[in-house]
Amino acid sequence: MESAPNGHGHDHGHGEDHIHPPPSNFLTKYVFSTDHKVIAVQFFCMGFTMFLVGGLFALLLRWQIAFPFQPLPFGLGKVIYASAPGNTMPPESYPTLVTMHGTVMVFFVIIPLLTGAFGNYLIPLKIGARDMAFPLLNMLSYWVAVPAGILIIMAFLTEAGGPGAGWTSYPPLSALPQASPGSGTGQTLWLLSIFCVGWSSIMGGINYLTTIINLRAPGMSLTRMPLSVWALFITSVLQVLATPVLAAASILLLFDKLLGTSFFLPAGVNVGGQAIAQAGGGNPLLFQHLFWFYSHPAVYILVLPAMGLVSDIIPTFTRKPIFGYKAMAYSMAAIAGLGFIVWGHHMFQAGMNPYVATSFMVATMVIATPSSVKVFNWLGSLYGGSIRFTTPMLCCLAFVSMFIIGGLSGVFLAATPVDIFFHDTYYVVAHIHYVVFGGSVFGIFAGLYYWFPKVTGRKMSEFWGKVHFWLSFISFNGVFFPMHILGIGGMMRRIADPTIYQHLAPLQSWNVYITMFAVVLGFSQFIVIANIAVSLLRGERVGENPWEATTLEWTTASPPPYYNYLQIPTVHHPPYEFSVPGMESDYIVQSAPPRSA
Amino acid sequence: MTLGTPRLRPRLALALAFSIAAVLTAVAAPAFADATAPAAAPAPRTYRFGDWPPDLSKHGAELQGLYDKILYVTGAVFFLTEGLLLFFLWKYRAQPGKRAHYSHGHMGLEVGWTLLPVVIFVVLGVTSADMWARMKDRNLFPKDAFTVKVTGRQFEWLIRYPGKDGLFGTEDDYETINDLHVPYDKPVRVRLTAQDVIHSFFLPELRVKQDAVPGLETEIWFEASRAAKTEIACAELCGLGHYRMRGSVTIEPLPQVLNWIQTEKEDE
Ligand code: HEM
Ligand SMILES: [Cu+2]
Ligand SMILES: [Cu+2]
Repeated sequence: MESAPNGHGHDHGHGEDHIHPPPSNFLTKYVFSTDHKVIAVQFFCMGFTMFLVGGLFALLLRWQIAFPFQPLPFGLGKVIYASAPGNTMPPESYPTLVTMHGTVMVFFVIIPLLTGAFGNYLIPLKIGARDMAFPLLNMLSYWVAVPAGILIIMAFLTEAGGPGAGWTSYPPLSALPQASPGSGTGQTLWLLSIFCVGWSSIMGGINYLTTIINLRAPGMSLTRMPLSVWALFITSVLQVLATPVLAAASILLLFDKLLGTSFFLPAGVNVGGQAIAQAGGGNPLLFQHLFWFYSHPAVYILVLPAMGLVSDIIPTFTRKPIFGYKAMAYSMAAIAGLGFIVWGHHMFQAGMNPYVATSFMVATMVIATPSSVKVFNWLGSLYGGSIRFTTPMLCCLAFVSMFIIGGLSGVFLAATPVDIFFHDTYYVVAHIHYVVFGGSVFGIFAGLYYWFPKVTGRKMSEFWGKVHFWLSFISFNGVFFPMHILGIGGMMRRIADPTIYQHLAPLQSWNVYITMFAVVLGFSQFIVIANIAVSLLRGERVGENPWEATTLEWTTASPPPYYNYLQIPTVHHPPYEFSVPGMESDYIVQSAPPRSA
Repeated sequence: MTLGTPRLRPRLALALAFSIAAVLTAVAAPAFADATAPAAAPAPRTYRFGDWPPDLSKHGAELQGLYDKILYVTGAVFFLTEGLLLFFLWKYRAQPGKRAHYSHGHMGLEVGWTLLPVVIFVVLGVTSADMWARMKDRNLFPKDAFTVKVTGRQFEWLIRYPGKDGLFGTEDDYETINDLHVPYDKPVRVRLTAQDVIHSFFLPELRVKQDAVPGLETEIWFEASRAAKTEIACAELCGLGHYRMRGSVTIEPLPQVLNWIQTEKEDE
């Protein structure tokens, strides 16, 4: 597989490579566009908007935990809980807020931002293609995600109550409206939304795979692909193989809800003394197996692309090739492969056979290895470098250092006896936020600051970038580090009022502390929004390659033309050739002419 | 943007970040203050940073020992990696006239740092396997245990004692809600199920947790070490009242437990 595919640029059935003119109609240019760059920006806008929505849910949750059933500050309760008595959180809102926060952040923020926005923008540019292999499919994958977003908001606003069974939505709770008001229409809309967003993911994945396999520029062999492309390739494999299982689980759950089947409902269930209508005979754990068969790989869908972005950015700012390119690619493949046999670690306490749990534990311990290999290679990439502390680099360093913490806390959870105590406590909440916020979100910030000049032709303010970075980094740790302490103290996840428990009462001041930092963390995000807005209009104009980077996207104009490259580039160099001895310039772009032997 | 010289900017940014954080906290503080209500119960114990809840169980020490072992290993990795990271950032910061070192990696290092974690992690896994089996394999549960049946339902714990004959489903069974009495210095076996949705039976101070699943009987056991009063919590989101699905646990000498069951039964 060393040779690059078809030597003459892309070829869609009618021979010669040629350049299409950009669409002139507003609708096909900006709305129903098939241009991967426009679709990427659309995904970004949707993902970032949802980031604010998910963040608002988080702040409301944090307020409730720190000050249970107390009115919101500054009279905000009159707006947010306008119809509730006393304008405070009604008790039934809490599970809905938890559910919405998790769902929005996983399915509508991280996945669309990483694969939808960065994946779409970068893949064709980085492999030297004019667009995705299937531009129409690409457009469709966005226009399926939009109704999914609308459905999830509708689910939230359902009159009887929004879905309240967690982002994991375990039945019977999620199946029975008698058990929770949100499990009626709200949950049905939730399932439809997840089904749609799953389709979007599958369509995106297929397109990315086809594009990366077939549309690489001449000379772009697999081992010359930037690691971000490797990461997105492996992520796409996960999306294509795992998401159908989520779709199956949601369909079966919909059947249980709407058609009276009992895939996940055992016999003899009754709610409040009333027997349910379904006959029973199913098994609630079946849903958990299906859900985690998807969702464990999905947590890697949430982080692999960010690993790729970071691996692309670090060499640029250390002026040094990435350490262990092949190890980096193999370890991502190993994570993806092993990712399919560890799902049971989410179910250690669910009632599985304990020896099955043991084998899941061993597999989980093994999957920590490729993650450590990646960390060591990032450290190796810093070694001997000439490090430039730009905002994107700071975000990458945050990614690496926070991912270390999240990976290490995973080891405690993987040890089955320790998980007896930590399962479903704040220790798990701390773990997921160190990997997903500390990891993926900082990876997204890194990508934003780094590629913004490519997308818009203007640089973002470094100064305000650093303010945003430091505020986010400090308050992130202020919020999530103490959650380990709460977990060790035995605080359960998803509880609306910890103060009523004798073992939690002494921990309450931590909850107040966390909430204060959460407010800072939340409001810091307005800085990046303002930075984007102001930089769009007044940012410093840049040329093709403001960071002096080596990969192909930096060889075309900023912003790139509709057709990406006037002439499809030919690749002669590995992706990260920095500081090559004996050369005057300290970097060689991938398409530079070969050095005479 | 012309704030400060280029070299000053990072420090300026840091300073500004800190001041914005401070101002936001200060502005928010009064709002927080008037919303702070006294917690429902006064703190019954002094709490120090990072404490576990008091340990009333016999296996708690072993569990915590395993936790400590992992903490030492991961702690070492943490300080090593984060330390190297910070050191490299300082040592290899861009300096005029200095060029980065051109290298693509090192095979020996790659092999080393792949094998080492595999060994460490697998050893950790194997170390955990034994305790796990003792905690959760029914065939290995102690034989002469004090047994209760607990059924989770929205939002309470139904507790069934077998009575004098030690058998369930007989005349002298006694059922209560949210009131678990168990002996100490004797293994206690809890047979769990749920009536409506999934709950999770969590005794933080006795260091056990097990989901209670409708249609399934799961089991957990523990041995308490002394007389005390503690609580049952629910650890699995089970609906609107999940957060208040709390039960009480009284740990007392076995005769007292049996006595209590009998008098309560007679009072019925
Ligand atoms: C270093 C390797 C890792 C190990 C050993 C590990 C282990 C675990 C274990 C055992 C759990 C289940 C805890 C419980 O519910 O009791 C868990 C939960 C979780 N992990 Fe990891 N993890 C690792 C890396 C990651 C990464 C990279 C991500 C995401 C980017 C991630 C995301 C999550 C999430 C989202 C959950 C919680 C799901 C939920 O219950 O809502 N983990 N992890
Ligand atoms: Cu997992
Ligand atoms: Cu519950």
